Amino acid sequence: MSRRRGSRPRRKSPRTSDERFRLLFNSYTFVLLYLPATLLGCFALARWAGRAQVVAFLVIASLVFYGWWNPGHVALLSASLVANYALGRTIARAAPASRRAWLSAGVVANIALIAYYKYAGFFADTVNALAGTQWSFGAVALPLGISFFTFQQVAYLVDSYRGEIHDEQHGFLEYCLFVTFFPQFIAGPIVHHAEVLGQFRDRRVFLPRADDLTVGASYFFVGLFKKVALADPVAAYARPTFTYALNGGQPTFAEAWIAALAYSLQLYLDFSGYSDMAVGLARMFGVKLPMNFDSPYKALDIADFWRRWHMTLSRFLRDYVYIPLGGNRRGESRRLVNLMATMLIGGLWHGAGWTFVAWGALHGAYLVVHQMWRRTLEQFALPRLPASVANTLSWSITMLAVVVAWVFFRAESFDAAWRILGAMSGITGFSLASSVGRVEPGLWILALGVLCVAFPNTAEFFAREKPVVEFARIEQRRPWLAALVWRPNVAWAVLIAALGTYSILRLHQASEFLYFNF
Amino acid sequence: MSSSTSTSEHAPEQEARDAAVYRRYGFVLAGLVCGALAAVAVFLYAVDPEGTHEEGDGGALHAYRDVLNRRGRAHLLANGPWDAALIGSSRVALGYDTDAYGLRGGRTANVGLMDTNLWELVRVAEYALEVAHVPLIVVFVDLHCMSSRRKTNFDFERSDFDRVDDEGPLEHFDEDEGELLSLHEIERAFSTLEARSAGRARVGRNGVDRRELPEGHRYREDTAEHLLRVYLANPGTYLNFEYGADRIDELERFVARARAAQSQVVLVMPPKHALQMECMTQIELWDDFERLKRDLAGVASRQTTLVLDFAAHHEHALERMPRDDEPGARMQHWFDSSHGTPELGRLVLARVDAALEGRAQEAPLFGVALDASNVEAHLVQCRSARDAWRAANRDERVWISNVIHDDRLLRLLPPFARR
Repeated sequence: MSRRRGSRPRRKSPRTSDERFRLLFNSYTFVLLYLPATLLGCFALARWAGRAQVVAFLVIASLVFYGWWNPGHVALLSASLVANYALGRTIARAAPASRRAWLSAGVVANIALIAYYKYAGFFADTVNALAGTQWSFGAVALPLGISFFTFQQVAYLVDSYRGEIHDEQHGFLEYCLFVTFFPQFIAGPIVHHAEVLGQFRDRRVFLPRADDLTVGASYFFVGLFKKVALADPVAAYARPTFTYALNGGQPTFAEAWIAALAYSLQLYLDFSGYSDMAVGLARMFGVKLPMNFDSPYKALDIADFWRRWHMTLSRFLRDYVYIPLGGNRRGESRRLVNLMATMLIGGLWHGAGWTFVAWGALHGAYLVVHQMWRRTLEQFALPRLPASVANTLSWSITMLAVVVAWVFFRAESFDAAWRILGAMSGITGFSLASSVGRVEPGLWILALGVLCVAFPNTAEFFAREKPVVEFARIEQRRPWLAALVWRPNVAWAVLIAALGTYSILRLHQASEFLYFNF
Repeated sequence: MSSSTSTSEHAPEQEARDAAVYRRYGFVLAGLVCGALAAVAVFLYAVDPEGTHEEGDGGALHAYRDVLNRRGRAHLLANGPWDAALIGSSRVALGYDTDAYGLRGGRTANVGLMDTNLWELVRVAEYALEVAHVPLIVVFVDLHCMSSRRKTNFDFERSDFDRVDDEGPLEHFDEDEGELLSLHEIERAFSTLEARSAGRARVGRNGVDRRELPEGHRYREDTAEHLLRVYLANPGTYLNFEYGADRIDELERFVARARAAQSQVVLVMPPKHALQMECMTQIELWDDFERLKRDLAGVASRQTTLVLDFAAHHEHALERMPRDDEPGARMQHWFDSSHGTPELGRLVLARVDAALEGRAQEAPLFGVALDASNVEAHLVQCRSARDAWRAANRDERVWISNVIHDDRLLRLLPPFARR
C-alpha cells in the first residue's frame, strides 16, 4: 500500500480570489514584511545614495505593491504614467492656441481608459436592458485604484494647462512617485501635486527621523484599529440584511435600521481608518498627506458634510468639475444645475451602477435643497430657533439624509434599496424582530455613533504633530483639544501599542477596504 | 539680535532632546508590540491549537485540541500517511472510531465535517487524493448533503481544502504564519489547555470525534430537536430542499479521476434510523431519497466503483428508541435518528471491508452493493421494508407527525423564513 507523505499545500485566504492578491494594509504580509522592507530600503538609500535613488526605489516599491494583485496592470499603469507626464509637459510648453487641444486629448484619453475598464460593462448592461440586446465587452478586470490615479492625473493635466506646474519642479520619477506613492495610491487621499512634489525635494523627507516614524506608526495603528476592530465587526450587522434584501427578502423595521446605521458606521470607520493608515504610512517616510475625513458625522448640514467627508474627492470635484462647469458664476439656477451635475459625476465615480448614480443624485438634490433653504432664510429673515435646538434639528435631518443615501450606495440593486428603505419608513410595519439581534447591534451602533459624533478625530488627537497638510485651520478650530492630544510619552505608547497589538492579532479576519472597489 | 542668535544656538539642542523623547516613545511602542506578538507566537506555537506543527509537542496535546473543523481536518489528512480516509458529515465524525478499526487493517483517517454538503465533500476527497495520496477513499453520501442550495462553510474557505492553483505569496504567509498571531487562535489555545487540565479528550488519534452522550440523555428529545433544527428548519437542507443533480456529476468526475490515479473510491449511503426515514417519508423526500440511490447506482456501473447502501430498514435501523421517561436506557447503535454510534460504524466498516474483498453480504439490506442492474429491485425491497415498519409502528408515525408539526419548528426558523 502506498505510504507517500502528503505535501503541504499553500492555503487560500478567506477573501475572494481577487481580494487575496491585493497587498492590503491590513495584512500580515504588508505589516510584517513589505512595510519594514520598504522603510529599510528607503532609509538606507537616503543615507548612502542620493535622492534620485530613493525616489526610484519608492516608485519600484509602489509598483510592486500595485502589481502584487495583478502584475499585468502594472504595464497599463506605466503607460498611463508615461503618457500623462509627457502630455503634462507638452501642455505646459505648448503655444496657447494648441494647449487646449492637448488638454482635451489628455482628458479624453484618461476618461476613455477609465470608461473602458470601469464603465464598459455597465454601459453594455444598460443598453442590453433597454434594447433587449446581448452586447458585451467580455470580462474586463478592473485595475485597482483606477478611479484614484485617473483623477489625480487629470488634475495634473488641468493644472499644467492652467500654468500651475513648472518644469523645474519635478522630473519623471518624482511625477511617478506623486501618482503611485503606495500609501495613497489605491484609495487616496487624492493628492494634489502641489501638496507632495515639493515635499519630495525637502532634505528632511525620506530620512529616518524618530518623530516621523513614531507619529506615523501611531497614526497607522489607530487607523488599523478603526478598520479591523471597529469597522469589520459592525459590518456583520449590515451584510445579512442587505444580502437578504438583494435576494428578494423583506427585512423588518428593526433589521433595516440596524443594517443602514451599521453600514453608515462601517463605511466611515473603514474609509477613515484606511485614510489614517495612509497618512501614517506616508509620515513614516516623512511625507505629509492631505486630510480626508474631518468627523463628517458631526456635520450640521449637507454642505458641511461634504466639507468633511472624503475631503480630497470633494476638493477634486469642486476644482475640476464644479468650477469648470461654471460654479456659482452664472447665476443661481445654473449653480444648482452644476451642483447636481457634479454630484452625479461623483456618484458614478464611486461605481459603475445605477444605485451609485442614485446616491449621487440624492446628494445633489440635498445640496440643491440646502442651497435653496439658505437663500430662503437670507431673503425672508425667518424667526430663528435657539442654537441648541436648531443644531440638533439640523444634525438629525442631515444624518437621516446621509443614512438614507447610504442605502443606495450599499444596496446592489434598486429593488434591494427600496425594500430596505420601505422597511425603514415603516411602510411594511414596525416589527422589532431582528435576525441579527437587537441588543448587541444596538450597543455597537450606539458606541460607535458616540465615538464618531462626540470624540475628536484622529487628526485632532495628533494635533500637536500637525499630521496632515494644511492642518492649521483644524488646529485653530479646536483649541480645547490641548489636554487630549497625543504626546510621545509612555502612557500614549502603551495605549497605541495595545491598539496596534490587538489589531495585528485580528488581521487573520481582515477584509478588504470598501473604497478599494471604487 | 542676541536673542535670535541664542535661539538658533539652542535649536539643535532642543531638537536633539525632542528626538530623544520620540526615540524613547518609539522604543517603548516597538518593544511592547514586538514583545507581545512574539509572546503570542511562542505560546501558539507551543500549544498549536490547529494541530499545524506536528513537530511541536509530539502529539501530547492532540486529543485535547478542537481540530474537528475544516482546517484541523485538512492538517490531519496532510499529516499522513494514510491507508484509507472516511469522508462525510458529522455522522462520520461521531460514528466511526478509526482508532479502533481501520479499513483493511490500515491507518484510516476520519474526515467527518460538521454541516457539510456534497460539493464540499468532493473537494475534500480531491484533497485526499491529490495532496494526501490516500489509496482508499470512502465518501459517505447523505441525502441532506445533496441540496444545491447549501452554501460553503466559511471554515472551509480558511482551510487547505480550498487550495487553488493560482495562489501567490500573500496568502501563504498570511494564512500559515498568521495563525501564530491570531486572537482567535489564542482563545482556542486556552480552550485546548482547559480540556487538557480537565482530561477531556475531544478527538481521537485518527480524527474521530470523542464527544460522549451526557448523563440522562433523552433520545426522543434529541431526535426531535435534530429533526426540527437540522433537517426541517435549516433552509439549506430539507426546508426548500432542492436535489442538486450537478453534485452527482461532480462526484462521478472525481471517481473517474481517482480511478485514473489508481486510487479506489467507495461510495456509502450511511445508515439511518427508521424514525429518520419516516420523517423523510412524511415530508415527501422519499422520491429524492430513491433518486439518490439510482444516481449512485449509475455511477457504480459507469465507473465500476463500489456503492454500498446502508440507508434502509435493516435490523439496526429498527432498534427501539427509548422514551424520555426511561433516562437510564441506552441505544446500542444510535445517538439520535441519524447519528450512529461507533458500534454501528464498526459494523459498517466491516461490511465495507467484506465488500472490498468480494465477500457476500450477510445481513439483509445492510450494505447492499448497488449498480444499475439491481437498484430497482433493491428499491422495491426497501419500500416494502419501510411499509412493513410503518404498518407495525403507528405510534412512531404519529410521533414523527407531531414533531414535524411542532410549534418549536416555527420558533427555530429564522425570522426571515417565518414571514
